[in-house]
Amino acid sequence: MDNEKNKAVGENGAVRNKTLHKGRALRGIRRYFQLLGIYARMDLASLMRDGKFMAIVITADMVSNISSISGIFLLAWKFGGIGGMDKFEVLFMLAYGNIVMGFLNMMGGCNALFPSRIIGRGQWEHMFIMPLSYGVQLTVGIFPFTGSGSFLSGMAMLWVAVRQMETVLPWWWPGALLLQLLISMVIVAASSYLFASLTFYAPVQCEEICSTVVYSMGHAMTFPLSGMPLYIRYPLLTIFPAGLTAWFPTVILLGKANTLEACYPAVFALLLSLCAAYFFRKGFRYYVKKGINRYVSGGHRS
Amino acid sequence: MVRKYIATAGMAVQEKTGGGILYLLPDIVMKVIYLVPLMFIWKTLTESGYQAEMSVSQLLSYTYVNALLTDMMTVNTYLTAWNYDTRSAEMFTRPLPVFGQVISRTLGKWGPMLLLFSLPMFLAAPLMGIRILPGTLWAIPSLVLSVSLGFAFEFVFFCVTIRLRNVSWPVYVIRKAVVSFFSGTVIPFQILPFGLERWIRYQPFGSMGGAFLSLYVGSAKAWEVIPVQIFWNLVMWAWAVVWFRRSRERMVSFGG
Repeated sequence: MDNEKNKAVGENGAVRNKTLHKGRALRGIRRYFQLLGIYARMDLASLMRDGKFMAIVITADMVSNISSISGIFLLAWKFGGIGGMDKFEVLFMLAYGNIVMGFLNMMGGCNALFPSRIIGRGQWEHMFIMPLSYGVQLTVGIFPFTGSGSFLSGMAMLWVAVRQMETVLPWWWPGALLLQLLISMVIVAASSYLFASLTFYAPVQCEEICSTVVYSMGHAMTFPLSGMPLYIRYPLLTIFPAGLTAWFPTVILLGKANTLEACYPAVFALLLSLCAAYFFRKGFRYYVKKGINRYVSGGHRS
Repeated sequence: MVRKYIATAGMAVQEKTGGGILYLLPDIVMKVIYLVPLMFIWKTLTESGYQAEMSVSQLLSYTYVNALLTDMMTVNTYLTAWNYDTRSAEMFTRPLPVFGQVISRTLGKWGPMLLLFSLPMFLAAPLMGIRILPGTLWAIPSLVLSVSLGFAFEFVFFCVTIRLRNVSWPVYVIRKAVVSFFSGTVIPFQILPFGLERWIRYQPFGSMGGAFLSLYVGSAKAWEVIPVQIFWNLVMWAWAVVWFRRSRERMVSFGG
C-alpha cells in the first residue's frame, strides 16, 4: 500500500516537475522574445530620435556593403564570369555572403559576434550579475532598423541574381537556402568564438582578434574559388573556412555538388562548434582563476 | 625634437609587441589570406584566355606589393577611434604637435609588421616567380606622396567625426569602404569595365595606393601619376590643417 502510495506520489511529482520545467522553458522563450522586442524598440527609438545620425549609420552600412562586393562583381562583369561561374552566379555568391554577414551583424548588437571585445575589455564579468544566461544576453541585441542595411541589400541582390540565372530551381530550394545560410552563420560564429578563446589569456593583445577573423572571413568569402587549384581551395574549406560561408554553399545551391559534398558544411559546422565550445570553456576556466585587470583606478582602460 | 618623435614611435612599437611577437601572428595569417586568393583570381582569369589591360606578371606584382605595404596604401591611424577612448584628448596634453604625434605613432605601429611580414615576403617574392623590383624609381616619391595623402585624409575624416558628434564607427566604415574601392588597391583601375579607368584615377582617393602601385608595376607613367598626387596633396593638406584648427575645439572625448 505504502509502495503504491509512494509510487503515485513519485509519479505526481515527476509530472509536476515536468510541467514546471515546461512552464519555465515557455516563460524563458517568451522572455527571450520580449527582450528581442525591447531591443528592437530601442533601435527604432534611436532611429526616430536622430534621423540624421541614423541615416549616416544606414548609409555607412550600405556603402560598405556595395563597396566590398563591387570589385569582384565588376571583374566578373568585365570577363563574363570567373573560374567557371558566370557573372550572375558570382553575384549570387556575393549576395549570399552579404546575407550571412548582414544577419549576424544585425543580431550582434551586444558584440555577440565579437566576444573578444567583451572579454578583452573586462566586460565578461558584467555578464555574471545579470539574471539571464550568457546565450540570451549575447543574442538579444538585435538592431533590425539601423543594422539591417547589409542584410536587406544582400536579399535584393540575391533576388536579382536568381531572376537572371538560367537555372530552374526545384521546389525545395528555398528550404535548402535557409539551411545553408544557417550553417554558414554557425561557421562564422564558431570561428569567432574559437579565436576569442585566446583573449582569456591575452586580453589586451587579442581584444580585436574576432574583428580580424570575422572581417577577414567577410573579405575572403567574396572570392569565387572555382577554377582555383586544390591547394588553395582546401585550406579555405578547412583551416580558414571562408569558402564554406559563400562559395561552397553557392555551388551546392546551384546543384553543382553531389550529396556527400552537400553534407560537408553541416558536418564541418558541427565539429567546429564543438571545438570552439571546448576551447572557449577552457579559456574561461583560466580567466576565472586569473581574472583581468584592465581598469585603472580612474576608471579608464589600460 | 626628432628624438621625441622617435620615442613616440617606439611607444607605438611597444604597444604592438608588448604581449609578445606571437600575438602578431594572426595579423600575418590574415594578410596571407587576403593575398593568396586574389593572386589566384588573376591566374585563373589569365589562364582562361581573357585579355586584360595588364599582364599577369603586373597583376601579381600589384597585388603582392599591395599586401606587403597594405598599411601604407590606405593609411589608418586609429585617430577616429582615439576620440572615444580619450587618447585624442591626451594628445593635447603632450609637448608635441598633434599632427606629428599621430604620424610618428602610426609609423611606429607599422614597424613590427614591416619587419616581420613585409621584409621576409619581399625577399621570398622571386622564389614565387613574382617580379618585386619597381618598374621605375619614381615609385619612391609616389609612395611618399601616397602615404602623405593618406594622413591628410585621416585628419579630414577625424574632423568629420568631430562635426558629426563622434559617430566614429560609421565614419570609419564609410571611409574604409570608399577608400578600398576608390584607391584602386584591390582591383587596379586599368582593368575596370565601362571605361571607369578614364575618370576614376583622377579623383582624390585615386592618388593613394593605386597610383603608387600602377607606377611600381609599370602600368602607368610617372608624368601621369605624380602631378596628380602633388595636386591632391596640396588640396587635402590645406583642407585638413584649416578644418582641424576650426574643429578641434568642438572635440568631445570620454574614456571607456
